[in-house]
Amino acid sequence: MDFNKIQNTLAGKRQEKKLLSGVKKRDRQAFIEAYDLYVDQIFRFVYFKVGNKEEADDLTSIVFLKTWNYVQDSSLKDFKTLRSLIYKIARTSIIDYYRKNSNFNKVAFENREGEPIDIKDEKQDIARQAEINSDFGIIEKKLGELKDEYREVIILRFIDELSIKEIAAILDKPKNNVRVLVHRALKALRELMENKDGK
Amino acid sequence: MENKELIKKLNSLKSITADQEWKERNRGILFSQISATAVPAAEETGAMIKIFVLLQRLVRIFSTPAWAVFFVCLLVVAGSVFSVGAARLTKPDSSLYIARIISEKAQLAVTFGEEKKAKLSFRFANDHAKDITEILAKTDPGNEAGKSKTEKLSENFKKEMTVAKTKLKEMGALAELEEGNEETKVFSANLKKEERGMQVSEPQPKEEPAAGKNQTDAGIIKTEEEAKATNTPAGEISGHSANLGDAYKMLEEAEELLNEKDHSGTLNKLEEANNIVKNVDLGDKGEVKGVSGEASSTQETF
Repeated sequence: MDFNKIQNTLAGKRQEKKLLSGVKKRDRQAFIEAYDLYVDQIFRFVYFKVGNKEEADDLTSIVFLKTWNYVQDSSLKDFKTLRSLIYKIARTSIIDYYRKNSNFNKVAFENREGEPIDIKDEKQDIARQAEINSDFGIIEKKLGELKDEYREVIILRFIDELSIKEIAAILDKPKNNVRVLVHRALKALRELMENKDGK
Repeated sequence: MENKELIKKLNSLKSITADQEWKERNRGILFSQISATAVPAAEETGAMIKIFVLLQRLVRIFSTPAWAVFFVCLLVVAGSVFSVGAARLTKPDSSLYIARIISEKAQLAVTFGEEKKAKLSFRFANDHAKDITEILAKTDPGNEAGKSKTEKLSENFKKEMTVAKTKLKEMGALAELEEGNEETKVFSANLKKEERGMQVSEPQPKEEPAAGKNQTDAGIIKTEEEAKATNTPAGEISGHSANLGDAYKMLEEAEELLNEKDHSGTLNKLEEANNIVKNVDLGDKGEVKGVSGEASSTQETF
């Protein structure tokens, strides 16, 4: 880790602490600053879980509103970082969303006879295909093939770069269990990627 | 594929972000939503937070070794004081009575001055005698255990009475010594007044107390003649001795009453003796502070 990265990490921690203190006092401005800081990370986390940008947008805005409501009723004693709180709310919101829309994957337009209509936007489809064929697209696709539990820790640890401690707080698991989970998830993803290379 | 390479590829997924336009639009919506729901609780909770912070600071301060030692010492001292207080309430038939005796001995050890020590010893002996009387009043001497207990307690009572009497005698001797010193001072002053350049430093020799009704014990009660022989007014000379003599009489009467199984009478006599001794101030020229009626009448007879 180079010097600049360490400096950035420390600055981030200071900012996080300041924001948490502000949010604890129910300072709206501090909460909006927290939104600016974490919206991309939360969006990404949600997106990899639901696999759809529009739903990820909706869920992300729900997550921030729920976080604010939670702050109103709680002293935030159990949370050492604001980020882990938002992620935890994001996680539960996604679970709730799945429960409410148990068939949300099958959402489709239907014709008068009740048969599904497959709507295709050709421009979007070409762009998406190109994305999938790139390295970026391949890993995104393989990530989707992973077990939900593994995918979750991969996103948190290697994409959003959360610490093991934060992940443990979000998942309500001991740190050692999280370490093992991360190791297994990485191994599973590597195997998936190697299979693709083999093919 | 190496883990490093894989992690690098995963890192590239960071480029997935929400639309800038959506973010700004959502920011506005969120702000309006939280403005509508927000209760400015900062002021409400301000006081509570301050109290909490203050408590945290106090805990931090008092958890330092110096404070911890102080608290331990305080606990020990407070515990000792409490134990002594509790021990004072114990009775002779209690297993904690030994603690009372020890605390009394400790109290005597830290008391300075012969008069004060004698007075305190008298008070302790008197209190013990009172407690023994109370227990005796409650004990049924009908059965074997009660009988042996009564005997033992009676014996203890006698011992306590002996101690109390001895202390009264000591107090009487001290009172006489005190009075003798006063006489010397008076003589010296008179002689100086006459400017003869002579000083009489020896006190008047004390005569043996005359045998009679008032002589309950040597050195305690002085007769009128004795008072006259010392060339000082009678009330001034024998103030202490007369009162102590009364106290002595009370103790003897208490003993007699106990023998007659009159426990309440015994207690009254002991209490009276205690009151008399309590009011005698040995270091105050023979004056008696707040003396009882009996003590006053004794004084007048001289």
